[in-house]
Amino acid sequence: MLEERERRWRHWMTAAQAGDAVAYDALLRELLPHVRGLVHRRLFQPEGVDDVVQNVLLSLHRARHTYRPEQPFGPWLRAIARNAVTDQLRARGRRPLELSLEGEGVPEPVADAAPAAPPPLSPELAEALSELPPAQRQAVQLLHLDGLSVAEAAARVGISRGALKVRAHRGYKALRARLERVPL
Amino acid sequence: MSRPSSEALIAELTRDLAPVRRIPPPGGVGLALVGLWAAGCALSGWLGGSGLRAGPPGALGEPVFTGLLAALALAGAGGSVAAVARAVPGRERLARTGSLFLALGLGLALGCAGLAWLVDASATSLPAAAACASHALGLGLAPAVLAFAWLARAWEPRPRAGAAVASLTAAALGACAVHLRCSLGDAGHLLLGHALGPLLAATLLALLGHAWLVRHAAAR
Repeated sequence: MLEERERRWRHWMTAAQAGDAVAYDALLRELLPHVRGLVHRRLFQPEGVDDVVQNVLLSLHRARHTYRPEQPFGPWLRAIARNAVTDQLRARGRRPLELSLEGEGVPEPVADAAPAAPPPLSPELAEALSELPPAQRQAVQLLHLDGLSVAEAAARVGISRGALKVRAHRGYKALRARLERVPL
Repeated sequence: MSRPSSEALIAELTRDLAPVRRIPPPGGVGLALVGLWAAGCALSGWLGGSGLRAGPPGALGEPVFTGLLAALALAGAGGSVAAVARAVPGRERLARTGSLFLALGLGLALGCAGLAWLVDASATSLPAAAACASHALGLGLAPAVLAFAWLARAWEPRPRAGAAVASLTAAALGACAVHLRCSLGDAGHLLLGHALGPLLAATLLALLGHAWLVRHAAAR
């Protein structure tokens, strides 16, 4: 049964690498309880488990190009989960529980900071921002121009914090590429 | 956060899913890393004259020479394994083993050269030592570039550690090549030019490499 599951996950991951969204969706949904169990065993505390689970899914998404079909899927997944848990435990030592895009070189607003006045936008940045898809533009606007925390911004938009962070991450990448004049 | 939040994230991640280009086989990258080093050594020897120490048997009979060579080779081999393995999730054990051999080799190299210098602390030429150290860095540069490119392309959640491993590996590989070629054998030269000097150069390389890794990993 474990071998069958391993074979299924390998097949779906390989298909996802080729762009098969259906296979990727099936893989992530089947991984969700498994990842939750992995994280729960390592965190020892119930609070923050769902946040770390979402971080694991995000890390898996970013690292999906590193999976090679000849290697077992389980150890690959566990390594990503361990890394996300380690990041969470280190973050706990620095500040209260907060999802983080640390490690991506993306500036992260501090949850406890008072909302700052919107920074003045350069014409180039304003133009690049206007070219973003509406969802990404809104995420970037709320987090880094309006100075809202992740939780506040997600509540305003009506989506999960993880989904908001994905939109913001894509927006940052697009902005960076646009400003560096690298084709997307 | 409740389960529907994770499911919303899954929906977000699978929307507009783009195909990705898989990383090359790690074994091939490791071979390429060593191959680059060997090619650099061959080119350096061809351009600059062989300059090899007089006869391998004679040189290998000298404990300090052999000990230092073995230590640097151990560090270079271990570091190459560590630099490649750490960029692939699931290969942590191999990466840790490689890092252990890297650290062990570098420690033995410093210990060997240091002990020899303690026994025979004769004066040595600083320019000659600096030349060997910079030559070592040069010979390790091509493998270092490949290692950094690999780390940025694949997976490096700890860029500081990754930069350190890649830089120290490059220093060990370069120092190993220099040690084989250099004809100066005084203890002070071995310590400064073949051990300590390359390590210090690796520190600078690690700082630059870390900054580069952070920037390029973020750009993906």
